[in-house]
Order: sequence, then structure tokens, then C-alpha cells
Amino acid sequence: MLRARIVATALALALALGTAPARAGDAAGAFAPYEDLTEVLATLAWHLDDDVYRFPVAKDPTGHDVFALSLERLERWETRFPSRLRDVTTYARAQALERLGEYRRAAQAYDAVAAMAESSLAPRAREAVPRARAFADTAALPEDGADMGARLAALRRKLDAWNVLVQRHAGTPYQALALVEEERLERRAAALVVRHRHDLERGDETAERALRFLVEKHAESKDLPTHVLELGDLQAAVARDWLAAHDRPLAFDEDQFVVRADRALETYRKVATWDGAREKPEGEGRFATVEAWKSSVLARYR
Amino acid sequence: MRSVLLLLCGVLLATPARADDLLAEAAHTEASTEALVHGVLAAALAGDRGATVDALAAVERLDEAREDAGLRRSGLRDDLRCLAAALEPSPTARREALEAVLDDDPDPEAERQARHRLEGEDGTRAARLLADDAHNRRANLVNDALRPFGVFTGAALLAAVNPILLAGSAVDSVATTAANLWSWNALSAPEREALVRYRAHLLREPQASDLPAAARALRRLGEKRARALCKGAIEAGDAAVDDGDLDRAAFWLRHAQTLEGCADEARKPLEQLARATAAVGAAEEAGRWPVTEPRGAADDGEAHAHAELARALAGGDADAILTAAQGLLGGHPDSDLAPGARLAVAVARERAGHPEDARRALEDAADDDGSPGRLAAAMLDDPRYAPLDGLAAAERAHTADVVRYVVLGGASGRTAIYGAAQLGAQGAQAAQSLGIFNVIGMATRGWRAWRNDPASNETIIERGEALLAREPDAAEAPQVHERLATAYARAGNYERAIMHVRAMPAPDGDRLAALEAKLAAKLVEDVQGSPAERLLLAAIARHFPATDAAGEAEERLAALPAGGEIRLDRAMLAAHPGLLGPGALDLEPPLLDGDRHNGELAERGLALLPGALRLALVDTGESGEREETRPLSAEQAARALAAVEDAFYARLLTREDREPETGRYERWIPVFLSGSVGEDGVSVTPGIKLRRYRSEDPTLYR
Repeated sequence: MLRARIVATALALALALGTAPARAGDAAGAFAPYEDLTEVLATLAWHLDDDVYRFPVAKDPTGHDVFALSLERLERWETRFPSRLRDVTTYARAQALERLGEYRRAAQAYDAVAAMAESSLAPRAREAVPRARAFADTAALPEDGADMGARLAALRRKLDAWNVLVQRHAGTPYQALALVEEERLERRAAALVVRHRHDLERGDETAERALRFLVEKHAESKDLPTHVLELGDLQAAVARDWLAAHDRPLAFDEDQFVVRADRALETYRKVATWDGAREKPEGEGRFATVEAWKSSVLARYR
Repeated sequence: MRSVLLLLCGVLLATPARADDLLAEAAHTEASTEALVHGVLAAALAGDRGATVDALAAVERLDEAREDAGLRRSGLRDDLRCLAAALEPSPTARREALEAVLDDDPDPEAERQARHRLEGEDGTRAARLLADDAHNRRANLVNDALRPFGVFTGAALLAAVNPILLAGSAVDSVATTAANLWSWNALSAPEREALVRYRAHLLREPQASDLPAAARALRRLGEKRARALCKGAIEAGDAAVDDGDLDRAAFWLRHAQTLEGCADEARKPLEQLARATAAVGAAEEAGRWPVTEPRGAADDGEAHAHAELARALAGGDADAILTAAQGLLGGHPDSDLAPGARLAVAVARERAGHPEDARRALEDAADDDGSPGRLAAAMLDDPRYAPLDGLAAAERAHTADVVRYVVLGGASGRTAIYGAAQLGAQGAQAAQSLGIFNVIGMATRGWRAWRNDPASNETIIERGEALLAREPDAAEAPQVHERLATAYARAGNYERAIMHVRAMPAPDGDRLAALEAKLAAKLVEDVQGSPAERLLLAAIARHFPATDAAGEAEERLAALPAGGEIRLDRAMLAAHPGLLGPGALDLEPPLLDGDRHNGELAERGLALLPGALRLALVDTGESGEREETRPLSAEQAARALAAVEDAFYARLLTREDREPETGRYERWIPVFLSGSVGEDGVSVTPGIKLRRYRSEDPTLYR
């Protein structure tokens, strides 16, 4: 089973990396109505155990997200043939919805299958219902608050709840789903600190620590390059803030400015040279932007 | 004293300010001159142009008196004229005053200051840019038309008078000229800069005498720029449509629509885009639906087997899927539903951890003309099932690119007509030389290709890195590392090449050493001019001790001045004898009199250190050279530093303003004759010289 999971995970990455980004023109050639529901189910089954935390979501051969596409195809099947294999399509829909983060709808779909006593999928659905409900309840916890402190506290409570699910589903494909949620919340918390860094004592340092925590904790995540880019964004913003506070010619200190700008450049450079990362072009673009800005500022003050 | 005047002139003309040793200069100037200069400076700072003009007249009288007395002229006149120009009330009058200074053969420093100001004047600069640009367009047209007749190889030389060969050259010439005429009116970087400068000129000098001409040029260039923007946006949109990237196309074409005078041109591409978008949307929507009549079962048994298979697939259990699929295939081998069951077998094999069996099952499922077969075939294209195929394909494409470059040269066809005509012309020459076409050119390109890879290795690297990211421990990994090391080395990325060689099971020591040598050489080249050059060179020497680059790094380290050290070689001291005086470095004249027996400065000269002066002296003994360090008081050090800075600044100002590779008298000769061994073979071609475009910041006008 473990081997099967590893293989499936590897295949997910293979499909994700090996397939060109989805482009409407390509898709137009490959897309075609399907002749057998088995095709939709086979594609979904192939990716059920994918590690969606560590690897990008798999694409089908036409470049579409396999889970979103499978869900749409299943919904259209139910529209056209409402009474054919309803237990199958409902159960498969629940699986796709779970992987798309729609836990409440997934729980409802599992409930519906569990109620189909004659279906051989009903026992499986009954097993899935508590899990899907736990995910849905956790996802429904509030993330907002009246002020920054309240928001951070809400995020903390929700993170704790997700962490319980991470531990509970360790070693199963559902752990990856919980990890994705945990990462999303931690990213949100870091973004909150970055946004309010001017209101905090030593706010720049706190914000940088928050982003570095994200980078270190989620070093295995598929979104690691994005976190590194966000760290670079903060460093670039700090450099811009410094310049705004020292923009008179005699207040400007070239060395201090260069140190700050170069920190952002060093960080962007990591992503700009990250072979195989989808964020590489973004890293290149942001590196070029800050480099041009740095040159322009230095020229202005010389 | 003249430094002070130059300084004030510079400040008033808005050139960068610099410090000078006023006291040292003033102390050695006659009292009357000092009083005169003091009055001028005060008047200039107060903006009193009349007093400055009066002072200029007084300086001229003073110079005449000095000449009558057999003394040198004061040297203040040119600087005062610059100063007076700075105080002129209008930019036009200022420009005319500076031109008058230049017409009167000023001293080199004043000349450079005046010329710099004039070159920076927007109207003058814009007019010159446009004149040079027009000249270059005409010169390019003539040069490109002549060039094909000048190219010959050893074999072609024998057929120089052959009419067919000449016809080939004529075709090439006509095609090149046609291509140049086609792009004749393209907006150039000098024109972009001229547009910007004319705008600034009109803002600064709304009353300028050249206002009508500037306004006309501004209008013409503005229209040209708008056309260029429109053309660029539509071309980008069309290219995106060709790439199938309709989102990108939509941006460019909608942007084109908003540009002045571009709406009509954008209309047709936008209509095409709308049609393509609608077609894609319709196809995507269709792809989300089942066909009207899905494949069905022939009887209840088959329908039951199909339903069981569907439930097993939804459940995701590998054994259950396999059992259900084999049940359907065994009981109903000729069923329309069999291709879907074969696809399910592949899923079961994959989920059970048997990728090779899954691949075989997919091959089996792909043998179907319907949508299950197409899906299986698409899944088989995944690199996972043929890990090295994609890499090998990228390598083959790279090899083909290199061969194409060596045989045919770089892709330079600006238009299809031009490219076809080039091919025809080369074909004629090739036929005439019994197939030995441009052997020298091919050899040259081959040599270049060996030295620097002319083709991109990006695809090989991307595919190889993707393979390793997916399965770093796969059986093929050593091969991938080996091929990536080769690709990275070809691309000049030696760090990554070394990393992949080290990742191989048995790294080749010789190969590693060669790569490290190349990396070190590249680093030595890259660190030149870096603020941390000393540090980096030392690191290179330390980390790559066995390489030639380490030796070069050590040599450069030795030649680099230490922090806070200023070196002046003997030639510099000889060119600025004032540096030897008591107001500067305070050195004994015999040090530069050529007599080795009374103490002589070596070619290395001296180094001004914080608080000391280190002299390199000729040693008549065996060593040939010795060093002597003299302490300097704070006052001496400050005086020496000011004098040295002044000398360096004067040298910078008065250095000859021409390209280092051009000869002294070249600017008087409007044509050139070039002979070279290049990609096109041996070439001897006459041509009209181009005027080089030089801008303070060319990146702003691309």
C-alpha cells in the first residue's frame, strides 16, 4: 500500500511536471466528450492517493486539474443521466470535492451514498462521513476577528484544530489535505503580520521571522518557492520603506541602501535560479524589477 | 585658482560639484590676481553677469600685461568665459556663449567642460541624434548592398569573375537592400531618445530659435512612436494567438485597441481572437459532457459487470478494480466497454505499485479508436514511462541546432524573402565551387561552436532536472546526472555541472578538475570591477589552487591597490610635474631626472598611503628596485591627496574622447575597408562609417 502511494505520488508529480501548462489552444484540440464513465473514474482513481501538499495538483493530458475536471464531468453525467450509476457518481464526486477543499459538500455526498443501502459503496461512504465532517467542521472555524490580535488568536485556534487532523490522519492521503490547510492558514497569519508590521514594535523583524518560519516549516511543500518570493517581497518593501525615510540626498547612505536591496535580490535570486519551479519566471521578473530599481536609485543619488 | 573657476563654472552649469584646495592655490597666486578672482567669484555667486564680463576684460588686460612682461598668461580666461556663459539669462544665449568658447581654442579642461554642457543640451543633442540616425540608415543600406560582393572564400576566389557567382551576390545584395528598405522607417533607439530630448527642450526653452523645427520633429517622432507601439502590441497579440495563449493575446490586442490610431488595426485580430476564444470555450464545455449515447452493455450481465467495475473504481481499491475489470473482460471480451475495462486494469496495476504492468496495460488500452484509447495513449506520453526519451529528444534537437549553425550560420533572416534570397545566393556560390562552399566560414563556426555553445541547452536541463526531481534514485539517475553535467558545462554553468558530476556513482576526477578550472576562470573574469574584488580573488586563489585561474587571481591581487592606497606611476608624475612641488607630494626633482645614480623613481612610481608615501626606487644593485616609505604629517597628507585628486580629475577631463580601438585620424576618413575571417568566410568589404550611438543610459530608449 505504501509503495502504491509512493508510486501514485510520483505519478502525480510526473504528470504535473511533464505536462505543459494548460493553454486554451492546446485544450481545444484534446478536449472531447467522453464515451464511457470509466474514463472519468479511472482518471480520478489514478490520483486518489496523490500528495497534494508536496506536489502540484495533477493535470489530465489536456492540462486541466484532474479533480476539478473529474467533478465537472461527473456533475454533467448526473445532469444528462440522473438515474444511471448514481451511487458511483455521488461517491466519486465526494472524493473529488474533498481534494478540492470542499469538505462540507463532500460530507453531504458521502451521506447521500451512505443512505443508498443497496449500493456496495454505502459501507465505505459511512466510514468516510466522520472524516469528511471533521474536515468540514474545522474548515468552518472562523479566521477573522475585530483586530489583529483577535485574528491571530482565531487563526491559532483553527491551526490547532487542523493539527489534530494532521496527526490523526498521519500516513494516509488525508494528512496531505490537512497539511495544505495548515500551510494556508500559516501563510495567512504571516501575511497578517507583514501587513501590520508598521503597527508592531520591531515589526520588520517580526514579519521576516514569520515568513522564515513558513519557509522552514514547509520546506517540503510545493509552495515553498512562493513563500521564498513573499520573503523577498517583504525585504524589497523594507528597502523601499528605508528609502522613503531617507530620501533627502544627504540622508541617503548608499551602503545601507545596498545592504537592504541586496537582501531582497539574494532572496529573489533563489527562485530565479530554481530549475523546474513554476515560480521561476516570477522570481526572474521580481529580481529584474528590484535590480533595475536599485540601479535607478543609486544613479539618482550619485 | 583656475580650479576654483572651473568648479564654480561647473556648479552654475549644474555639473557635478567637486572639492578643491582653495587655500593652497590661492597662496601661490599673485595678490592682484587673487583679488580679481575673488571679485569674480563673489559676483558670479550673486548672479552679477555684468561684473563677470568686466572681470573677463580685466583678465584679458592682465594677460596682455603679463605677455608684455615676458610672463605666461594667467590661464584664467577660458574658465572665466565658461563662468560668464553660465550666467547668461537664457539657455539659447548660454549655448551660444559656450559655442563661442569652443570656437576660440580653449584649454583642454575648459573645452571638455564646455563640450559636455553642449552635448547635454537637449535641443542640440536631439538634432545630432537624428542626423546621426539618418546617416547610419543610409550607410547601412549602402554597406549591406556592397557586402555580398566582398565576401569570398578560397574556392569562390577562383570564380570571382564568374557571372553566375556574381549573380548570386547580386541576388543577395538586392534581397538585403529590400529587407533594409522594408524596415527603413522602424523607430530606432536614437529616435526614441531624440523624442524625449525634444520634449524636454520645448519645456525648458519655449522661446528657442529652433522651436518650429523641434515641434515638427516632435510631431513626426510622436506619430512614429505611436505606430511602433501599435505594431508591437498587435505583433505580440498575434504571436500569442499562434502559441495558443489566448489570455496573453487578449491583453495585447485590447491594449492595442486603446492606443492612439490603433483601433482600426486591432479590430480584425480582435475579431479573430473572439472567434478562437469562442471555439475553445465551446470545445472545453463539450469536453465536460459525455457523448449523447455512451458506450453501453449488450445485455444485463455486461451491464452488471460494468456497474461493478464503476463501483470498484470509485472505491479505489486496487484488487477490487482488477477483479471487476478482469470479470468484464473475461465475460465479455468483445464488449464496447472492454477498452474502459483495460484502462481500469492499468489503474489497478498502478495503484498496486506495478508501474511496468500499468504501462503494458495502458498500451493495451491505447489500441482503441475511441476516447478511452485516446486517454490511454495520452497517459503513455508521460515521461515517467520513458524517462530518458524526452531527454534524448532534447539532446537531438540541440545537436541539430548546432549542426544548423555550423553549416548555415546564425539565423539572421529578417524576412522570409531575405532568407530565401540568401539561400539562393549561397546555393549559387556553392554550386560554382563544386560543393566546397564557404569552408573557412564553416570551420570558423565549428570552432566557435566548440568554444561557446551556439544552441540552447534549456530543454535538456529542464527535462533532466524534472526527471531527477521526480525520482532522484531511479536506475536512470546516473545517466541523467552525466547528461546534465554535459549540458550545464556546454551552457557555461560550471557550478551545476560540477554538482552533477559529483552526484554520479564514480565521479571522474579529471573531468571535475577540468570543470573546476573553467569555473575558476569564469569567476576570475566575473569579479573584475566588483567592489569585493580583492576578497573574491583571494577566495578563488584559495579554493582552486591547482588551476591557472588561481595564478591569475594572485597576479591581479598583487596588482590591486590596498584599501585607502592611491598609486601614481612614473608616467603620471612625468605628465603632471606640479605633483612634485612642495604644495603637493614635495618630492626631489632628481627622482625624475633620468640619472640612476642620484636616486630615480621606478616605473611603478609611488603609492600614497594613509599617513605615508611609499616610493618605488630604481636600485642599482641586483634587486633592481627597492621601496622607501616616507611618513607624512596630517597637513602634508591632506595637501598631497588634494593635489593627486586634482591631477586625476584633470586627466579624466582631458583624456582623448575617442573609442580606444579607433586611430587618431580616423574621424577624418568617412569610409572603411574591413577584412576579416568570420562566419561568412574571408571578407574584404568597403563601407561607409557609422556614427556610434552613445547615450548616458541606452536602456531607457530601447
